[in-house]
Amino acid sequence: MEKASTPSGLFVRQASGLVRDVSMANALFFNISAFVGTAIGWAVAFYALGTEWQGLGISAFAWMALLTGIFCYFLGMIFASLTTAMPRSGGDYVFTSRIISPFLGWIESWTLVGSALTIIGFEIIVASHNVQLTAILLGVAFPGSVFSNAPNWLQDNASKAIVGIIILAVIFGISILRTRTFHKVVTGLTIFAIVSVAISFFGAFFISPDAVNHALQGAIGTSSTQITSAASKAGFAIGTPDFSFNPGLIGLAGLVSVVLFQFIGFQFSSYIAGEVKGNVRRSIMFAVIGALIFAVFMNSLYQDVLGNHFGFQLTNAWGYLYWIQGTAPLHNLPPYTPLLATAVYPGAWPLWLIVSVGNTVLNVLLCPVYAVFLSRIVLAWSLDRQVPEWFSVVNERTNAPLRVIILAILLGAVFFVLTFFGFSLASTTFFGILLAGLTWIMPGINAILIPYRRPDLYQLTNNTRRFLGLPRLVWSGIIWLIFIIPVYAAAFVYPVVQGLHSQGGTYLTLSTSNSSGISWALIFILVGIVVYFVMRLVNTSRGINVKMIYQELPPD
Amino acid sequence: MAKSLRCYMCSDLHAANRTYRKLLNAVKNNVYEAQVVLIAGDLTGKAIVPIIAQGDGRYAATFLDRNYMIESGTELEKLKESISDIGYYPYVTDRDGVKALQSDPAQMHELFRHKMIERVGEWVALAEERIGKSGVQFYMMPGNDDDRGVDEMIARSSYVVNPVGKTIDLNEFHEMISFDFANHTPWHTPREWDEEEYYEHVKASASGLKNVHNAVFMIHVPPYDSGIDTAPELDKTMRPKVTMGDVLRIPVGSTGVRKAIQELQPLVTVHGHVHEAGGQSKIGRTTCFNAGSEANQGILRGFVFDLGKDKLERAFRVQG
Repeated sequence: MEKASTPSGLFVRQASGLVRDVSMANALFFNISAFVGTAIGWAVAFYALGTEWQGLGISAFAWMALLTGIFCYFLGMIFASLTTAMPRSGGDYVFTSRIISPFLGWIESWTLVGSALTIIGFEIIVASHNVQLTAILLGVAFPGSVFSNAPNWLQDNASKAIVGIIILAVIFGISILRTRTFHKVVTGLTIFAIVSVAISFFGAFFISPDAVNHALQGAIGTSSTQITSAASKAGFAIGTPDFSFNPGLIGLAGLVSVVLFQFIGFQFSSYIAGEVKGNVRRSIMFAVIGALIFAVFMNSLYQDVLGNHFGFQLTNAWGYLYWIQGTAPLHNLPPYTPLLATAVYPGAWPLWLIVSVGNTVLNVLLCPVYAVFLSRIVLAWSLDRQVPEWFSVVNERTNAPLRVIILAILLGAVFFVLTFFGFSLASTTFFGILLAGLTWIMPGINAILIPYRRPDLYQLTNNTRRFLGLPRLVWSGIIWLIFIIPVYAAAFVYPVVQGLHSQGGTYLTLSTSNSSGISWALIFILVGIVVYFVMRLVNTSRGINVKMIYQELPPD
Repeated sequence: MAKSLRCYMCSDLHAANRTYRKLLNAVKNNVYEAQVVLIAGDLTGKAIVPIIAQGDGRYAATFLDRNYMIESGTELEKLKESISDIGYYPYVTDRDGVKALQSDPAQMHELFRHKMIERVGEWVALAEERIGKSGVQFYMMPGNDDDRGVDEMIARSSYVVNPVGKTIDLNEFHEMISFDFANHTPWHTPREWDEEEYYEHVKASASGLKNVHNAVFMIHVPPYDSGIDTAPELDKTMRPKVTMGDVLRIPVGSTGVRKAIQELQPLVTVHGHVHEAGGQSKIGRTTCFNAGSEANQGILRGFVFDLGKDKLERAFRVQG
């Protein structure tokens, strides 16, 4: 059938029935608010997790953000196509369980849930930092006020716990809102955060590295020179702006993995696809690609403009001391551009306070958004009888699976509390990333297999054109896997193999301070396997044939 | 101990051929091991796609936002099949025919009526052909969106049963009564009752049951504020009300149906009507099901439930 140029219309009669209620804009803001690493105020801190090189005036981090963005476009295409064929909430779980196997879908989503819970715990700690940094900013703007002592706040577990509980209460309060109000709050606060991004981005053009150097000593009691010198002594070597960038595969993969960590969340609207209204493919594409463009901007142009105007060497050195050494200024807080800008122009503090609050809002907002996204995965499990029906009970007031939402926040809080008992942030993060492995890889495999294992669903993807003899969706899967498998292997599998090789059994110690997190990850996976088979037995004993629940029904 | 009765329910297939064929194959292949199949209303489609003869042996059509120029008979049949699969009606005509339809609402109405009745007739025939000898009880109830003419097509069948207006013995323990109407909708559809009228109809029908507490009520519209009746709130132009990008949602079920269920307390009620509110809920001892509908996306959603002698033994949601 060829395309024609003469539209011939559609006759519609009046009949009842509308489906789905999450708008395209909701889905976009949902994705943006789910970003793990979109730190408006301390974006520059992430340079030090990669490499400090600049080429053509653009940082290695920004180059990698652009590269990762290109590959993530194919991941976005995969998610949009799969959600078109399976337009229901649950994301990866639904895709893999239908295309490959229920067990694999379960393990993939179980590990994703574990990973997401660690991220909630991680974000509560980051939120504590952000609250303190905002107070320090006010202390710089108003010397001699109660905020002047803010750098010394949160130095003991009791005060950290109090702030953590307040943050948890805010997260909890947002999470248990009615679905309608929840989306209003997420959309409104995300718009506020985007406004603060604009203020920060354009405000940076009024700042220069020299101005920061001059203002720093008076504002926080240490100079740029002292910071870069401390970092150099600790082994930090600033790069030179040339083309000698040669980090090797492992270094490159490590850098890309940090960028990917920053990008996590851009595809999360596909997990609430069951609630997206209208043309699901178009809405998810808009939300995923829109959020991806935002992520690329935040991790390239935005980050570089801030880095160059606040001082590339300073922000790198400070970031290095924060992430690697734990000896950064202000009792080890990250480089915070709203604070530095206030030090340069104390009179502009209201603008930079908005940026700081926007930064904290986006950070805190991630937690309720994650709780909702997790609840939809668990809802999908429950509908498939992979977990007890208790989880799928939709609360009449909130119109959402409230029990799971509350559970997700509580479990995220557990990871936060564990840090008081020596559970390291590095361990938590590595643990989370290890667990997320299948989530990164399976979409590519699903894209490759769907035309052959589930041709009926493939026909529904609305993406059935071919290129060089293969379906375009298969090409998307291949391209994504070519990118993600080496990255994951080099950035996460390689360190594990190295750790086991060099440390042997010690590497697997179940200590809370063990930064590998690998044993925790293995235990979590084992628990998942046990839950799967226990539920299978329970279902069998109740006379429920689980295979029936998602049995393929050929139309002909 | 009596063996339980396995029932499968779905709803709002809205003329989606592909989804309906999935249903027949599920029965034929005994996928859900159901002895009773219930379709809880709304069998007909909502749109006609005109396929316009160009006078040179070619046909033009717009389908799912794409414009097509059909070159051959095979291509034409393929397009008609695609249109029918998602629940629309293909209609081959010429430019004058399109103009005539656009200018004459009565002619348009009659065309819709013809297409709806024709499709239901095809469905009934297909059911007879594919599962007529399966021994499965197959109940096909119209819904508020369906023209009255479809009842006649079902009534002609030697196998498919329209349960409306009848007391059906599902087995020796369970009877079923059925209601194809909805409460009033913004669309003023063919089968709508006032709330009190609905309540009276249900109550009157239930009075003839041997044991109402063991009965199944198949009622197209779900009970009000039951969690399985939540739909977007519409404005005067029939568009969903949106605030800050979020669609407002309200319960749209029937208060009359809720009142009847609360008073009569049947064992199970099965519903459809509100596509986006699939799920199950309890009103007193009564378990209410709404399968929801994604039939136009080719997805068959349903519930499987087992009726024991005097209780609901188990129920689970399925989709294929």
